[in-house]
Amino acid sequence: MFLHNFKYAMRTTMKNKTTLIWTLLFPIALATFMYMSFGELFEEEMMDVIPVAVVVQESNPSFEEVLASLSKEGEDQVIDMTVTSEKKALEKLENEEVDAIIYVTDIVYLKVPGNSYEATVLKTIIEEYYKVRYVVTDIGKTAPEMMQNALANLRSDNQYYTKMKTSDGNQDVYTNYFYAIFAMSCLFASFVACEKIQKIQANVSPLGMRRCLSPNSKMITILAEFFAMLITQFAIELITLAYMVMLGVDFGNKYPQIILVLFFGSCIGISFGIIIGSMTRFSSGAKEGICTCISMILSVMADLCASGIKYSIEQTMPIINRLNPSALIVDSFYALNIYDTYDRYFQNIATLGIMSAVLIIISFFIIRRNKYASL
Amino acid sequence: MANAIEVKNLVKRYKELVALDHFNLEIKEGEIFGLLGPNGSGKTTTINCILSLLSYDKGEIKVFGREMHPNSYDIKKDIGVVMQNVAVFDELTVYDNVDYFCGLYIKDKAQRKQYVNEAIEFVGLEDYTKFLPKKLSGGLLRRLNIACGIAHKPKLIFFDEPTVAVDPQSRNKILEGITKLNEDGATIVYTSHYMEEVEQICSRILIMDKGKNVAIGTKEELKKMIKNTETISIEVMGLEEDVLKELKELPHAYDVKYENMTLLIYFSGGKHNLVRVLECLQKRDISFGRVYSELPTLNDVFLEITGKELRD
Ligand SMILES: Nc1ncnc2c1ncn2[C@@H]1O[C@H](COP(=O)(O)OP(=O)(O)OP(=O)(O)O)[C@@H](O)[C@H]1O
Ligand SMILES: [Mg+2]
Repeated sequence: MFLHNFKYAMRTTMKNKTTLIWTLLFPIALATFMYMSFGELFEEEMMDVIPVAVVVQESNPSFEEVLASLSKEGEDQVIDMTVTSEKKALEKLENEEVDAIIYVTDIVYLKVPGNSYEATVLKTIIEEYYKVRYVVTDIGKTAPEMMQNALANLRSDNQYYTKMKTSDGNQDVYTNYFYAIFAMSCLFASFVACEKIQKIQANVSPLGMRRCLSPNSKMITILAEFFAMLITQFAIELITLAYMVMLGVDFGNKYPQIILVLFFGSCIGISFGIIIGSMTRFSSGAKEGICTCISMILSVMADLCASGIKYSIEQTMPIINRLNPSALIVDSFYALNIYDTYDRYFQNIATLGIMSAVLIIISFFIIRRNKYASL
Repeated sequence: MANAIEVKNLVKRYKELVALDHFNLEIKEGEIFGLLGPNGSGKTTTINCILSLLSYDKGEIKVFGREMHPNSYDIKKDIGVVMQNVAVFDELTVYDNVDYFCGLYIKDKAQRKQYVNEAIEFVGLEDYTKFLPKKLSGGLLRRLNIACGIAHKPKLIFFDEPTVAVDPQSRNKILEGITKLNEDGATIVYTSHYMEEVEQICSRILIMDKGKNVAIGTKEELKKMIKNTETISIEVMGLEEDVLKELKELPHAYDVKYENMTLLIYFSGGKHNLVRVLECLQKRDISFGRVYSELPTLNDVFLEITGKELRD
């Protein structure tokens, strides 16, 4: 009986093309929109090398070595330097042929117009140089035998600069928006679930009435509908994930874990819709409104529209973030990205799973209600 | 014959409104039982109470001799319902709809396939199996609604106004079909506010009004309950008061009405009523148009008992 119900639940879900297409189009459109707004951050071209003029006023072999290594051609190249006279350098800066002038003396300094992204990178390079030089000098004094090692470190630090370059501009915040898209799209599954569950209830639809008359437990019908919607929604989330990866959104490489988040995210969205759909008090229009509102509010609270809301909730009422499914989904991604351990990730996922089960059980008890006072 | 349905002292209230007021009903197996009543008289409410969809305030309901509960699955499997509102999936084709509902009752695949095809043939939708409900006309949709309700070959079938919005031709097909189902052994409960339909197919009829049982019996028994035996109606222009008076004095006549140029004379018994009426008119040289002599209908029964017309 489950299989029979499931087969037709699947068929009705798939045949409802408009809803299906919108549920899919929605996260994809949102992702595209976000990508277009701050998409440059994800493009490889942004790894462009920074053209700089270098004016050597006093020899400084250690820094020159750093510069040479940073401008070595290849994937890790950070700067493209031209060693020249001060006059020519100023000319080039004027003509915007270079972004900055680096003066090399015993103390290195930088001339950059304004406060650009390139300026930040270059400043950091120089600061880092000083830090390391200090360490190296210190080592020279205290443990000269380590000197070789320290110098090698200094030279091979390109990786660090390159990385700093790409993650600059708060890419984490932007990626967070993409996590929030998943949260939102999962919760929007509630919409379909709400609609479908009303077709099980005798007091809401004639169809529900007819299904009520059949000699079968309602739990079977609910579960069949649940799994059919889960599979569909999960597939939609996977397609969205693939699309975002294609756009170049950096999710790290823990894909199995990410997919698990999407699975439980779909679960919670659907069970959410099921519980709202089974509340008999509201008209079906009102229920759909409630679904939309709650999905929006919860997603905004998980920083879909602006970052910082989730953080302030964390400061004032952290329990909300522990229970808000949208925040849990976003936080699972975040935890995967930040932590090496899975404690927080699994805690989030477990909360999602348990909440989902509880909601379905409650709605079963509401729906299976023996008789209705009014139809 | 055993009772298929027994309803005793059923009371159902919607807030202040009393929809069923100590309502009693007994339906025997093998009957086509008609529930006749005007809009809002409580027909659908009665059926929903019997089906255990609605809670009720008082009373006792037994189906096939057993008390009916929402999870009386062994009773439910023998019941088929064709509801007043069309209840089908918009997303599924005609075939899939029937197959889905049939599959809720019949587990065996081969048997189910056979039943589904028989049901589709029964309502004459063979040419539409691949159609979606929205592509069907109102009448065809009603037929699909019927197929969904009866595909599992239930022993007891409820038809709640299945012919609303159906053209006369389809209506006749549906009525014939219902008779056929009954011949094949099903007990039928048929509700309608069209008395002609009820008269045509029902073996026993219950007339209800405002949630109360007004009269019950075969159509002949019902008609015998009232004094009216014949109504004569004549199209005639400009009748004077004294003529009406004289007509009312005719033997067996108990009432005369003259409205919209139609003369109505009600008789209770008597054999040559029409002749006497026409003689009376001819004597005064009054010309008249069409003349009908009608035997009592269920409408007359309803009219006499409740004082209002059954028709809308
Ligand atoms: N859900 C409800 N809430 C309140 N009153 C109701 C409800 N359903 C029916 N009623 C009232 O109960 C009475 C009986 O309604 P019911 O639907 O049983 O009539 P019916 O005989 O089936 O009429 P129809 O021929 O129009 O189908 C009516 O007065 C109706 O207004
Ligand atoms: Mg009704």
